[in-house]
Amino acid sequence: MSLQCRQLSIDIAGKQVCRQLDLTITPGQVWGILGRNGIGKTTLLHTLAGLRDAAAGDILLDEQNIIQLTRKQIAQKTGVLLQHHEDSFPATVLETVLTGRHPHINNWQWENESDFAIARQALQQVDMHTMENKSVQHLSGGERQRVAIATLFAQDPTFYLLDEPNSHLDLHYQINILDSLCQFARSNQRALIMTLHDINLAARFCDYVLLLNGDGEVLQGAATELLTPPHLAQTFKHEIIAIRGEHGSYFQPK
Amino acid sequence: MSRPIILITSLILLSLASFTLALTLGSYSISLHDVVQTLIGNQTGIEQSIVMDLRAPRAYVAFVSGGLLALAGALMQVLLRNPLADPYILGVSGGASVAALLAVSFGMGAVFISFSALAGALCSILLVFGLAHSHGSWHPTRLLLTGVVLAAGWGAVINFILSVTPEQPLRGMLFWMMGDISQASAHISALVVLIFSLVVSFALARQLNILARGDMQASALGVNVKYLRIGLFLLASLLTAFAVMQVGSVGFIGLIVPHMLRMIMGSDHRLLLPACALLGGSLLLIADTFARILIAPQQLPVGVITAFIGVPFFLFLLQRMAGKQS
Repeated sequence: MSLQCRQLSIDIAGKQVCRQLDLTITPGQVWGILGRNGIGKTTLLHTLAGLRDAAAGDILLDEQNIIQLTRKQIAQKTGVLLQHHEDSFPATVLETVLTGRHPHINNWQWENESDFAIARQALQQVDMHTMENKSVQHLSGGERQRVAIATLFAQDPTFYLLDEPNSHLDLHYQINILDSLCQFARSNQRALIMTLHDINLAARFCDYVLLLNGDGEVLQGAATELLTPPHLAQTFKHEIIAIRGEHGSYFQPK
Repeated sequence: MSRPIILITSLILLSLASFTLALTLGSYSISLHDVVQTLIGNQTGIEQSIVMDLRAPRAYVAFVSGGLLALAGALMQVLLRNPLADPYILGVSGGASVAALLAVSFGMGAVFISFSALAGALCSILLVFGLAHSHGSWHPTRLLLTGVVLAAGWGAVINFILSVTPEQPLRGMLFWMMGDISQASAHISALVVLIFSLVVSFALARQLNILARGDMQASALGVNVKYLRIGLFLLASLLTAFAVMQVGSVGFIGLIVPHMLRMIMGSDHRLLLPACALLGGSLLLIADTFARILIAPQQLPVGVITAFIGVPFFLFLLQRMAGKQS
């Protein structure tokens, strides 16, 4: 099982996000994607999920090129946490989490008892199980984000592609949710690939990082090797200092 | 019994009740007993001819058209991801009206008017499809803008036709545009389209639930968004075209029925779509019964009645829901 990029190049509006990128992600790994605003973190994440076409190169999901797979086949193995959640129509929290089961249910079938159990379990994982009958339109930003993460848990893919999973979350849930995601991934052979803005969260939770530097330049490697002031200064175009602390280094902009 | 079953059962009962009203009430009152006797073939004479030749075909047209409109509205709302979309929003009725008015002004018969309306609606559908689809992108906003602008264009053509038409055919034209069932002829094709669309949309219903969460999210959850949207557009337009062909542009049913049901039963389209067909049919049938009897022997265009019933009822529901949330 793996999610691979071979010679992958991605463009947005004439700008290069990555150029001939080779990358292999295997279950049990936690990856972070870091870079400046508008550099293409989200675009890279969407491309990995097959939601967007690459300019060149291939993406292989379990050795199969994703352009040969149906959306349903892809959704059984990769799940995406989007940055924005659209709730145009009224729906409850539980109904929303149940949408995660969609790729696993045949067209004419309805959700069965086990799908409900999975959805409720997922709500428990994000501490939202007491609100299952609440309308999603009445949730706070952080609660809505946790429901979206629960939907992803219910989808139960191998590869979790998370676009700013900590957005809208308060300090407690930022640590709590990332912690349970990472623990879950490591003990159940799932891979996490997440875009993050907070270098300290990346240093704390990620095994590997991708630094998007612009003009197609991407650095990849172990977090301990790449999350250093010189590399980060290049990525963020801002001087950054590291402070030794109890759990490793903390990074602070100068 | 679970809530959805209760709801669907009560909608079926409502449908039966609305048929009962439509067949018994009128300038010539017929008892329910006589209606039943007629339907099973034990009655002859004036009752038989009123029920079988006048009221039953008209009730059929009203019910099927209401079902078509409400179903079209529900599908259009998902397609445009906008709870305020109605079946006519993309200009289908505009195209139909132009063609129908032209047929009226050339003095053609009712059947021919219906078919030109259908042809006009189909033309309009293809035009919107071609224009909105030209770059391969199917963004709801782009589709909506194309349809709305085209509808405005049709509106201008309609006004032009109305202003150059002499007095005498004008009244028929206005009635047609307000939605009128008195001239409609019962045709099996609309029922076939309704049942076909119900089956297809029921099969797609869970995908529609996902599509309502946004194109990107639907894609991420395994829905082939592009094909689903094209199918949805064609289905909703076809339903609208057949409704317009039968009864002209009757307002409010396609907007209010799906919206009302969403407020009451949530947005699971597997239940919502059949419920829409039943409630839409019942409401239009009840409205048409009122249109017949309210100022009898004169008849009102049914579109006037749907607005009279629909607007206050909808506002009441909106107020009640707002009260619940705060």
